[in-house]
This record gives sequence, structure tokens and C-alpha cells, in this order.
Amino acid sequence: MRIKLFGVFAHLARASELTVEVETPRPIREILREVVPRYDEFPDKIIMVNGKPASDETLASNEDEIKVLPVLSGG
Amino acid sequence: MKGWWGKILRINLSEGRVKAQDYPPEAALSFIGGRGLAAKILWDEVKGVDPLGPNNKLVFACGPFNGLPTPSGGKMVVAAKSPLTGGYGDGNLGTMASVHLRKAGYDALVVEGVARRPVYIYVEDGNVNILSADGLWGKTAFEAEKSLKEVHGRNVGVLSIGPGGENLVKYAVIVSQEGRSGGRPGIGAVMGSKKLKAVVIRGSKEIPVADKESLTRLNQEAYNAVLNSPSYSFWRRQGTMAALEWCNENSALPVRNFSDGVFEFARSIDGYAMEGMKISQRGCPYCNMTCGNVVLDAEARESELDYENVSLLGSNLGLGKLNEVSVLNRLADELGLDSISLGGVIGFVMEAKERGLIKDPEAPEFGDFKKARELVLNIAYRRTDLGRQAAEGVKRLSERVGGKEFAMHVKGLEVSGYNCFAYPAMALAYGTSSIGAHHKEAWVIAWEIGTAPMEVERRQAVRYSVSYNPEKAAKVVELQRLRGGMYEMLTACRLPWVEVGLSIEYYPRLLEAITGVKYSWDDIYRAADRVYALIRAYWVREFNGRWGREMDYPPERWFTGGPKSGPFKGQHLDRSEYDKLLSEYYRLRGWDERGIPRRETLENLNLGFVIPDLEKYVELN
Ligand code: SF4
Repeated sequence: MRIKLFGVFAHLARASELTVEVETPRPIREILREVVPRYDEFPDKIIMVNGKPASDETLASNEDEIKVLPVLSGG
Repeated sequence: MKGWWGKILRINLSEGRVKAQDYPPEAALSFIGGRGLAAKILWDEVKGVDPLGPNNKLVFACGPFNGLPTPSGGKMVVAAKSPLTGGYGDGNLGTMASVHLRKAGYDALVVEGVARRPVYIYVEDGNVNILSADGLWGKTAFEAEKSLKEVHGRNVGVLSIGPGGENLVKYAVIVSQEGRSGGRPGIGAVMGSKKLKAVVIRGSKEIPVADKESLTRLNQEAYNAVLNSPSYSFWRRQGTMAALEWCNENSALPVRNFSDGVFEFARSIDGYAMEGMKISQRGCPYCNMTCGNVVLDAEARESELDYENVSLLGSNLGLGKLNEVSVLNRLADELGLDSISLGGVIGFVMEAKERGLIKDPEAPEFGDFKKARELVLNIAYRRTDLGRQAAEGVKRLSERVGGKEFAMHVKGLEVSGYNCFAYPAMALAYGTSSIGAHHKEAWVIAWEIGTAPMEVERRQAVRYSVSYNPEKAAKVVELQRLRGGMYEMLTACRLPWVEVGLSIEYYPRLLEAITGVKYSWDDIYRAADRVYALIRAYWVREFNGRWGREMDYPPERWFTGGPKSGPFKGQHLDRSEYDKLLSEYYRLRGWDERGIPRRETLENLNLGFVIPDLEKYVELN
């Protein structure tokens, strides 16, 4: 699957785009824990799967495109 | 009382009179400070007056957090009846003047009357002088602050206006420390109308605190929590500028006078572009998050950027070069103009030119940096016809040249950096903010995007749609209580909580350590609701009761057309759905269908004192 990371998530993962292969569909949270250090310390985040809002409990497989955005405050 | 001085410094410039006035402890307890105190003063004392006349009052209000070691607690509220909107106007800024005003022994400073010639005020504890500013008038805000520090030393807090405020530009702000500014609805023009160029404060007293030990410990803990936050290091890289990429990604960027939500040159003005140009970082007092990112602009001058300025003066004008955008931003700061409203006004001029409503050859088109730059100067100095008209703000300009359907304002205040074709909750936040279209009180858009209803069938073709749900109104109220209420009363910066996740539980605990008064969350919410209802009553009274729910509508543009590109292309808000959300908002607030607080609500919030006055203008439900 393709994972696009934004803002602080890209900063922590040191990458803004990643490709991850999974054998069976896995919850997004598990995958993000592996690529984004301190992921669990973020109580809020915006997760999109194939352009649609989802949660990080959603199962994702290789064909999915996942976007992970932080929740900002907007100054 | 601990934590509050219970004293307001009053200076009347017409008569040269200075007075330190006690105010009752009950007012401190129920309005806390900052915005709460300012709203109370304006309700009691500024009624039916011309905002730029001698009877308006300029309020500089602090809260219990100020002057003490508190997380990002170096803010101050500046307030007055707004010349831009005709209603309640305020703003906050981070400034050493807040620290010094409190250390001088006051919770607030109220300036009344009008000086005959330009003056500035110098406060040194109990010693107050009104001094000639003949030599400062005409200088930029940066130059004025520099000169005043040469005279009074560096250990002072300075608030000043630039030519924008002097020339009564309706969206002039008050500036401090080269780049901190506040008072979007023309509070700088009110200062200019009083011929007050600057306020310089030096305070040396110790503020009485209930439990100093707890205060120091809590502050240290909070300070460390900020440093250890997983968001901290990226925040230090980009600050609010990270929002540019974010908004562009979510079709929420203001592009070409809000006609679009996605900008083709976003990459060249975003946080990453800024990082490449950054030369230093500045911040407000007592803050370890220093979010003012300083770059060198196209004219080799320092310019302090944040998201709002760059979106409104960049993508909203079709400008894709960050060093040019930085020039406009620096000029706005020096001249003392609100950069958000300035970008809104120039964006409107550009669209009006494109549509043939403005034919003036000096009017810039989208993407024309040179003419935009010239227009900024013409606005600040009220030169040329176009400059003078644009100095009046988008609402008045559109009434004059036409184009109300693309005039981006609420209640006369220009919209800040979020384009809401697809975001009804954020539109509601703009519609119901206490000062007009400002985002500070309820930045609900991230929550709105993150909680959009999930679709079960993920593999279907993606359909983007606008969603309404009554929870959105509740979320707006909740955020207004915290952001527009608690933070504005304390007064402290909300960013440690919202940006790096500092636990909000610190705030009532800090407040208790400072004042010795235990505020439950319920007490804080009630105080916030009280302030919102009082401010709403103020608007209704100052509009002589000519008030209806349409005052809380977002700009017409968001109900029609939709963005020109991106996934939300062609989608827009639905008026009847918005109306339902608005009714839900009123219900939660205890306001009637016109958006006026009910009698019972006022009584419950201990605002019974506004009823007799308000009833002279409207019948209460
Ligand atoms: S986070 Fe930014 S705006 Fe808030 S107090 Fe710190 S420097 Fe000022």
C-alpha cells in the first residue's frame, strides 16, 4: 500500500511517501506504529483511505492508498 | 485578592487626567480578565458612540496569567468598539507590554478621550506620563518602537501603531516587537483616532500570587511537557506554516479571493519553502514554542511569517513567490495593517478588476505583485481613490463598487485563512465568532475533516460531499468556550494545547495556584458563556436592536458556485442545512432564533444587569 504522510508524521517518519507490503489486510494503526516513531502519543489524527475519511482501526491492504494528516489548530 | 490587582489604570487624553481605579472582586471572579474584562468595560461605558470619536474607549486588558511564569502566558487583549464592524472588537497579541502592565500594578489600561496633538503614554509603576509623540507620528511601528526603546531602555513593553492606524484604516492593528500584532477589527485605528502613537510600560512590582510554589512547579511541568511533545520538533521547524500544505490538501486554502481551495503554486509558498528561507525565530514572552518564523524578503528585509499572512497575501492574491509574499507581509506589519484583512481586501479588488467592476488602471490583477505592493502603501497612507476606498474594508468597498456575492466577510470582518465551501462547521465558527470572520475562537475544521462520516464501501468511486450533523454546532460551542473563552480571559496562547497537545487540565490548576480560587470546568464554561452572551448583547445594542440571524451567516460565496478545482469542485454549502446548524447553535447557547440571548439565559449567567438596557432596543424572549 502507499502511505502519504503529512506534517509532523512526515517529520517523524523522515519520509513523506512510503510503500508497504502486507500479506493480509492489517489495521492501519499497526502499520503506522512501525513507520512513525511515537505514533501512539498522538490522540488525534486524520486518516484517509482512498480519499475517504477512515480511522486507524480500518483494515488496509496492498491496493489501498492511505493519507495521514495531523490535527492542526490553525494558529 | 490574589492573582488580580483589582486595579484599572485610566487615562483620559482630552483632559490629561490619570486615575488608578479599583474594580470589584466580583467582576474579577466572574469575568476573569482579558476579553471578559474588556467586554464588561465596553458594555458599561461605551454605548452608541462613534468608534473613531472621543467617546470610544481603548482597552488593554490582561488576565491572571500575565506577568507570571505561565505556559505561553505573555498575551494581552486589545479591545474597543470596532470602526470596521460597528460591534464588539478585540484581538490578542503577545507582548512584553502585558508583562509590564501587570508588574506595574494593573490588570488593565483604559484610554479615553482624544489628545490634541500626537502623544504617547509612558507608565512606570504608579508614575504615568503623557508625552509628545510629534517626532514619532508618521513613523512605522517598527521605527517607533526602536526610537522609544532608545529613550526608555530595552526593559520596557511597547505597543504602537503605524501609519495605518494614524490614517484610520479600518483594519489597522496594534503592533509590538516587530511582528506581533492584534486587534483585527480596527483597534489600531481607534488608537490613531485618539492621536495615541504608542504606550510604553515598565513595571517592577511583584504580583501577589496565592501559591507560588505550585505555580512554579506546574509551570515547569507544563514547560517540559511542551518540550517533550512528539509534535514539538516539527512545530519548531514550521510553526503555523504547516497549515498551508494541510489546507491545500483539504481544499480549504483561500485561493484567488476564495474562488478556489487548491493552489497550483502551493509548494512554493508552503512551510517547506519557508524553512529554506528562514534566518531566525521569534516568539512571545514566556513561550518556548517561538512560532514567528523570520525570513529575508525579496527586498532583503526581515519578515515574520505565519500561515494566515501567507495564505491571505499569497494564494489568495494568486502570488506564488514566497519572497514577494514576505514583502507584503512585512509592509503590513510595519504599517500596522491587519495582514488577513489586507489580503482579503486586495483579493476582492483583484476579482472586481477581473470582473470589470473596478476599472482603475492602478488596481492589481491576480498575481500582480508590483501593483499589490503599491496598493498596500496607498491603503496605509490613504492615497489615491482606490487606496482610500480599500482602506474601508471589503464590506464597504463591495457596497460601493458591487460584488457583494464575492465579498468575503462576516459582520464586516474579512475572512481568515480557511475556505469553507465544504466545511459547514468551520463556516458556523466564522458566522458566530464574537468579532466577525476570525478563526481563533473555534478552529473546528480539522475535527470536521477527521470525523466526516465513514463509508462502508471503501472501494466505490470516491464521492466527496458536504456533511451536516448537529454535533458540529456542539463542537463549535465547545471550542468557543475554550479558545474564545478561557484562553482569551486568562489571557494565554492556546497553541501549547492545540498544537503540541499540552494537557488542558493545567489551566484551571494554574489559575487556582495564581488566584487561590478553584474554578471547575463548569465554572470556566459558565464564565465563557457569560462573556459570549455579553458580547452578543453588545452587538445587538450597538446595532440599535436591528439584529437577525442573517448576521451570523457566512459569506454568500460559500452558498454558491463551489471551488473551481480539486475534489470538492462545484460543491458548496446549503443554506437551509446551515440554518439548521445555526438553530442548533442558538439552542445550545440559550439564544433565540434571532441569535439574541433569552432573558432566562441572561439571568442564569448573572447578566441580569444588561436586560433593562437591552430591552430599550429589542423585545427579549
Ligand atoms: S506559540 Fe507562538 S503565538 Fe503562541 S505565545 Fe508562543 S510565539 Fe506567541
